[in-house]
Amino acid sequence: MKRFLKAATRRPVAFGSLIVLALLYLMMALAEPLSPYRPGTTFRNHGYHPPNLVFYSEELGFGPQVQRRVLMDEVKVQYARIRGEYYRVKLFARGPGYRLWGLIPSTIHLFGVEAPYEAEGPGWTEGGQGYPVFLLGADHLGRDLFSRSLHGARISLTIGFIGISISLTLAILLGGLAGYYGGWVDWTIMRMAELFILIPGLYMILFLRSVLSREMDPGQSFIIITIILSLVGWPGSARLVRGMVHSIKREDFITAAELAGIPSVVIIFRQIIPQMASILIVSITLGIPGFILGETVLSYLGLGIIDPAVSWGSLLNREITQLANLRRFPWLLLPGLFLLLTTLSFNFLGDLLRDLMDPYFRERRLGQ
Amino acid sequence: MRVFAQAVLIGPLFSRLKERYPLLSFILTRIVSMIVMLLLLGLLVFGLMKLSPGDMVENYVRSQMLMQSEFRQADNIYTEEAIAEAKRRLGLDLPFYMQYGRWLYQVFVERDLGQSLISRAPILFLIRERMVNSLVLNLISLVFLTVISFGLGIYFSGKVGTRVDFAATFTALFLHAFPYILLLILLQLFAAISGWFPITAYPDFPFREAPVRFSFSYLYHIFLPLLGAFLSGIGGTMRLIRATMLDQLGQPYITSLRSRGIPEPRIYLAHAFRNTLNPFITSSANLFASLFSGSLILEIIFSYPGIGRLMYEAVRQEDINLVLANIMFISFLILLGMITADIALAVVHPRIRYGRK
Repeated sequence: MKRFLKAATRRPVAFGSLIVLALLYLMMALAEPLSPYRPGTTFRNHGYHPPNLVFYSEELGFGPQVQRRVLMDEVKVQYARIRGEYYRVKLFARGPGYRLWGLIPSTIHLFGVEAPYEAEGPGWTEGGQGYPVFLLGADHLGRDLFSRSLHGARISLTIGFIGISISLTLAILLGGLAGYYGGWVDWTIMRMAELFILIPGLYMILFLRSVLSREMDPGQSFIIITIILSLVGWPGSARLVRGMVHSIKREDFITAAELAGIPSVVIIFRQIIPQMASILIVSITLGIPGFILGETVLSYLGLGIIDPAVSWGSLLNREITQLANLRRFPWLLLPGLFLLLTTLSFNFLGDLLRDLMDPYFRERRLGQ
Repeated sequence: MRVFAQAVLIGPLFSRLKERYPLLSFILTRIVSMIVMLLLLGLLVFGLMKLSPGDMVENYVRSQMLMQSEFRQADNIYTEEAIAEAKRRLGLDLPFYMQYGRWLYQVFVERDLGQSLISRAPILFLIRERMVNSLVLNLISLVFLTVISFGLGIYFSGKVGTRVDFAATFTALFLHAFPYILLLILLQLFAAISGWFPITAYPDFPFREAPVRFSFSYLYHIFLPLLGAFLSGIGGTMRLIRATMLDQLGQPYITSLRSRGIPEPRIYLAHAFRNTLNPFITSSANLFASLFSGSLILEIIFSYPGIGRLMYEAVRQEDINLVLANIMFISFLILLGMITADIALAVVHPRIRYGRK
């Protein structure tokens, strides 16, 4: 751990990505108070609203504020700004109520325009006092993309961990058995893995997706997608685990354990697997972005998370981010920024870890 | 008894073949194992379909009932019994291995992959052209990727520890980590805004009309998508090659070559480089598979008429026949790639051929 921190401070990029990841997960956990609205809060007549936070106006001077806009053309979606109508964006403003972690009821949001502006909520008036703040713009239905991105992180960021834990469990179990016993067990398991490796990942995912049922609620589809991604992901790690187990098996302490009459299952999972903890940590870090991207691709194609639920992939959905839309409303791509940050951070972090765990690394650096 | 006799007959024949033509026998065993793998894969696919909650089979039966006049009813409302009867006649009540057998018979004996459930077109007709398109696209990107990443990998392995090398490895990692799907969307947006490139990846006239013009137009159209595939692939392969080069350069035989005064370029190209080929060929089959996987997104975003888009459309429309044929064809192709890599490896490195038992 000390070594890790020392190395991390020497590599600013990896250290930075660690901080970014911590922030992202914190944002995910505190999505409700951080986002000004609910992910489903729909503002009528605000479809494709551009980002509208500004920091200066003649009326209110400096400070975060939003300007009122009116939808001029519903077909072409053009907005006109109203001169002189600005609203201050307050910190810790009141907004839609929520229960933090299902426990603490609150209506305080980190920022927002304090106004009865929730659609169909208490105090809703058409064109009421105040104006919604769209930090990253709004989507086709007039929902705040920033709030949706934060809530979407719930699915996108957890799918990586759940997916990798399922696939790694499978890989350790099967790879460990294959590597330890060898012979026909090894042969059968590895041929099975090869069958899964054979089909290009996305084709396999699409096939499994088409086999598993189509109509399902968000919770089900989350589970199904995670299972599909883990099914596609396990063979690669199983091969890795098998190779490692195979080589560790020849060590003396394993022979000693065998002679002591310890059952082989215990040897595999208590003696051999802990030996490869460092490699497993690296493969977890490098494997998570794959799961996140897998979910993104599925949702992008409209086969993953669908509408009442929200994930980064579903924010980038093909129907919404089609070219004609992107040219006119480029902020629709902004949720992709979160995705980019996450995958980059995991990769940089994994790279650092791999170098740390690699015994030849220092030698290689100095060797030349 | 006959099986036994055959085994007795084939056994010595094979070992004699192995003695005299080791490479040929190696290739033969690989091909046989490939066929076995494909058959097993088909069994797996059919088994998974059987396990499925049933939407797809149900839809299939319904569409068949609509189409075939013997089942048709005036009001399109079917009783449970009628559906069960239709299932029985279509052979869908059989266990999955029997269904698989029927499918194999249909494909290999009757040379018929069946029809698409949606467009009613024969599947072979649908797949053939798309397959060629995808293959061309992926082979081009494989060649580019291989050549350029070897060049860069060798170049930067000579500069290890310098600022240039640091920048290069950082860029490689960045490109490797950049979400492919985002990259493609951005490239297409770039094409649309700048107007320098077409936003689709395929010419709008057929090859037969004007072959030469088609080729140029094709290259122009696939430039950006290929760039996307290239950028996202180069990071991984370049890092792999650089790492193997560095491993090789640290070996004692390189030191001995250097001490004998062999010129440095020669050490790099004739000795270290040759030894990096081995792991690269091994991983190139996987690279090929991942290229196909990536080209699925590419084909959808840039509307390129390839097998990936066909698969996507088939999945969206729940076209069970087409999905089945697609998945079998694509795995056949990847297996072919793997076998080619294996054979190439055996040709390059005779040790592997003899060592692998």
